[in-house]
Amino acid sequence: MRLKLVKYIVLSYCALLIVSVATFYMLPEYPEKIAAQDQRQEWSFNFESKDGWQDQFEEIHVREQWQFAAPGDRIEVTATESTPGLWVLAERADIEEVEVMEYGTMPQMADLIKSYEVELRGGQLVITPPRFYEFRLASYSRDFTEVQFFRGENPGPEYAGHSFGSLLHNHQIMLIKVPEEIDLDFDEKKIHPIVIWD
Amino acid sequence: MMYSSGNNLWTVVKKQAAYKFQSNARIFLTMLILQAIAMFFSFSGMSGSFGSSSGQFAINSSVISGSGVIAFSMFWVAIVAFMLTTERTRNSDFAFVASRLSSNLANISFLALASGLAGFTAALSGILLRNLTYFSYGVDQIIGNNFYLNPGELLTGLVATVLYMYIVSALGYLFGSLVQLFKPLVAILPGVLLGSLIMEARTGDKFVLQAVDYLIAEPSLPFFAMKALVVTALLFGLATLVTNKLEVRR
Repeated sequence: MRLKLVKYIVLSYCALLIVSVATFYMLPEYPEKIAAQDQRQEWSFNFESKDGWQDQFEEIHVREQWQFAAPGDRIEVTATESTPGLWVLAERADIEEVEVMEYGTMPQMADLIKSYEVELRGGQLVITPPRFYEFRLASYSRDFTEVQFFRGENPGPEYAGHSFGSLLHNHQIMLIKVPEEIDLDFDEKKIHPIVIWD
Repeated sequence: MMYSSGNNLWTVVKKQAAYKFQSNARIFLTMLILQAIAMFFSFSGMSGSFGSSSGQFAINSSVISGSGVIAFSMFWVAIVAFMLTTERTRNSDFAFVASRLSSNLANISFLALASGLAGFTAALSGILLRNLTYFSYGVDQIIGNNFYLNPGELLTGLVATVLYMYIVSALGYLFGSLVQLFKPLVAILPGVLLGSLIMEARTGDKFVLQAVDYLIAEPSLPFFAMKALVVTALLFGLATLVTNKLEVRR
């Protein structure tokens, strides 16, 4: 193959790489970093008081809210299927309507993680988990020649020094608030409340 | 009075190096192809993948890294260095009024260029991979940790990669030179190395790994550069001494 052609191909490749460097530093935004997830179980948290429990979760945020007219003097909380990943808190409060709030603890993944659906059907508050879904993520591990001289926080090889498994510990919490006069029952085969505050 | 205008050493080295570059130019296309293959594997999750599920969802994730491209490039540069020591390549040097020394210096010059190019392209391929990841997955589906590389880190990685290429090329060149001196060494030396590593793993006595740690555990770039250049010079120097033992032409 002619020397000139080889030279042009190699130079074009080098030019592509240089252009990719320029493109990289001109990207409009960069992916957010994710801190190591809290993998403690529910019994490690303190839910004794209905005030301030959110402070135990660094990035807790409300994902969805629902309000329903109070249906009578009794509500049974149930679900269409078992909800092992959902922590349920209940509270009787000085309110007139039934309020339900779904909290999440990973705002960076908020668009990827699907919410529950909640309906009040007569005397039943029915929680429907999202159908099983999967999503793809990518993470970048530094080259070993970069890691050797790295000066910042833990460079990997896995991101932030912990595995993807911790992403599964996004705590999804549902707080059910009902008027004080309403009795709450739970279908314990499908929903197990962590606490009921009176 | 008649006299001959003799070429001085560096003139001959330059001519030989230019000839080597012209006659071996196609080798650089091999480097491109190897790096493209490595990037394909890296992007497909060669560096790692993970799948897990809990409750309502499952995550399938890929860990992408440019380390594979660097490793493939190191393999390439070692092979190129070895090839330069073969009898056929050595004999082609006799087209010039050359000595073993000028031939070795020309080879070292060629390898410096090849290593520099391999290191440069391998280091920057990490950025190309990041761009490919960004535009394929979208910003929301990438874990941002380790994604952004500031220019200083990029430059450090680039320099380190080039230096590693120099070392590997020197090792390949020395290995090739020793094999030319005594052909069975092509099997003996790798066997001895593998046996040493297995023994070190079992007994805990480290010699080979300590020698490797001398370089890879160095956290300061200036010190690493000094070590790398000294090691490279020693390896090339040893190879030069070894090739002096070879017959002029077989």
